[in-house]
Amino acid sequence: MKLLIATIFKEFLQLVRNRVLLFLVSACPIILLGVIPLSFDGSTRFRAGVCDMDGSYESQKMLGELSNSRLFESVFYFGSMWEAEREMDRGSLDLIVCFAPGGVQIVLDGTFPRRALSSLYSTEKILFLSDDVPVVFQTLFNAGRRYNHFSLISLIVLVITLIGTALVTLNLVKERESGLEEQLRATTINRFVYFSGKFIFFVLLCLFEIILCLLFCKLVYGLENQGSFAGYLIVNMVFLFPLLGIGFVIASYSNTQLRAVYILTIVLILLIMLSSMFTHLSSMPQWAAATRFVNPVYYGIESSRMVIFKGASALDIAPLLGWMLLLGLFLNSLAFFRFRKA
Amino acid sequence: MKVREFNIGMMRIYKIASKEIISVYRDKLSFSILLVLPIVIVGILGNVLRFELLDLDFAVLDRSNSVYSRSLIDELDKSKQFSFAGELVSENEILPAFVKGNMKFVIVVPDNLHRGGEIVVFLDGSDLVLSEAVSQTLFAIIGGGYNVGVRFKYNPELKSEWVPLPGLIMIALIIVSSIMLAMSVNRERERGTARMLLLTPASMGEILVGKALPYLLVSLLHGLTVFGVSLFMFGIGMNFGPAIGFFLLTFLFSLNSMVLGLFIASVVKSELELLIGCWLFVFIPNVFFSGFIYPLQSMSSFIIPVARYMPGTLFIEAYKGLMFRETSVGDSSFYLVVLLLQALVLFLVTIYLFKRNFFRK
Repeated sequence: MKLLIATIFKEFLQLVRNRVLLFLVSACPIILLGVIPLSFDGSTRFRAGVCDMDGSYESQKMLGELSNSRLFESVFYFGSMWEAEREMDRGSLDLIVCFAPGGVQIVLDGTFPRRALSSLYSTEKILFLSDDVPVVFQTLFNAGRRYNHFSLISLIVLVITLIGTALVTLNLVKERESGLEEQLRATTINRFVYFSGKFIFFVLLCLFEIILCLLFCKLVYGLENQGSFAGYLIVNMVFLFPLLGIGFVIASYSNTQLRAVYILTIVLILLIMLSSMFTHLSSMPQWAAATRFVNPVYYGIESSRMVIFKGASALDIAPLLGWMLLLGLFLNSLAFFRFRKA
Repeated sequence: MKVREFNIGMMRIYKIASKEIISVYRDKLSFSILLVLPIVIVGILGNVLRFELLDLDFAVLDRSNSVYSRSLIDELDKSKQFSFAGELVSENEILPAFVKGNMKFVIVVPDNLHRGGEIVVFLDGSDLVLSEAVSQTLFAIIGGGYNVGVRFKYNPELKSEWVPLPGLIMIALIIVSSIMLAMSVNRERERGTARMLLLTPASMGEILVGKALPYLLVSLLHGLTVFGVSLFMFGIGMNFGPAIGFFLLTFLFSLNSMVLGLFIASVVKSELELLIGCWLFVFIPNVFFSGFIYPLQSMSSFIIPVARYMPGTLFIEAYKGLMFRETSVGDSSFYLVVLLLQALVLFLVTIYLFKRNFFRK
């Protein structure tokens, strides 16, 4: 027990004495959570070009509606369709509305289909002022539709994923590369203590990061936790189990830091992009959606969202937690047995 | 005399570059990762990140039980975006349907639909990007049908394969040219082999250029493979004209992110710090603020001026112009020039910083 505490304390000292690293570790969540939510403020705006060849009363009225609408970032006027399409070729217009004598014609930039479709519907809605469809939309959970709240949860998981795996992997490989591990082998510290000492230290560090993140979200964005705080911490502790496991496995397979970084980069990019952080499972092909069973980042995001937004209890997300534990058990024991051999 | 000095300088750069090539090549695993990385990113993720809706489950609480409501549900179920997954009996079941039943939205049809009642659609606010897309698509299916001539330029069939490509190519290039190059530079500094470079007659600029050259070659090679993948997998870039522009763009963008990586390498010391620094200051901003995930027009208004000049944004805009709209290089020249200028300015700063602390441990 004394040995375990000593190894944890060693890691702690190593981190604290490295100023730059300490700065990066504590500033990373603040920078990410402070800046990245600015990338999406919830409203979608388009750049429209208008070409009025009709000049009638109706077209003037519609034109007025268009330029008054807050949907458009800017509305440009063109004398002819040719000029407008030339401008679209340069990439500065999302859609062109043309009032021809025969009727309205809309030309859209189709490179991003969903954006094109949504701009089409919104424009039609404005042009024809239609409210005859009796549909009302209501949002449950996160009822204010606060966009930054939504992205904050996945950002916290992103922070933990990056910091956790990078620290664990490079810490282990660095000790091996610099010969420190060789020296530790000559002490009374055995594999198990060495391994679990590191594990406990990084779990504590990541939990500290999570609390820092949550505090930041609470103070700056007023994020409200629908579930219990303790529940969120427990979920994240379970999440850290497979996540750090990935770091350990990568470390056990790489002899130099360079190689560790190569493997880490490709693994992390795949895990993050295949999780539901940027897209959602239903839009993926079957085989890609199936990778979620071995993707801890997916579990982390899903369970955090469940707890924070939907106030789910531990029972509701028991399957997720169970999978995470299984995955963590597998990864960590794989790393542990490979370490023994080394 | 001038010519001779120049030749000697070239020779030194060549020697350092060949040393770098050997040291990368001898670690077979890293070398193969370096080579296949863009293919993996573009090939796998290009099929995954389509940002479209497919078979979302929804539940219905139908009080009216009318022909209209049933035909509406039928219509939604038939569309490829949604699939009907269950009928609810009471209002108490709406919340559990989201938490336990994994429904993406719930439609409530009132019993007084014909007497002015309103259909209420409950959306899931814990996934706002999804719910926004759902409400837009629903509106299009329920409403819609206006008498308007619509034409989609550049992508008339609205193929969703196009969406993630520019962003993914950008990510692949950034990783290879910024993170990998900076890693190799800081590795020398951390291990002390940089002190041996001090003994060579090469100057700081020659050392950096020499180390960067192999990675630039790898980036250009990646330009080729990525071009091949997007051609054979997604059918983009059939014409010869855009290809030249694309390689020019790849070259400039790689140069830009290499210098960015070197800049971060010159500020931090160890490899771990460098990795976190690169993720934090190069990779993540370029993913989020480049229009890859969210369009530029949806960002907070005061970040837009910054985002417009991010290397990632410049790359994506220029790529869309060259490959999707198939316009001439001249139309994208603004982006190319800005990329080059950023690289030049940052390179001078980096040389200055390295001269002060390259050999300091």
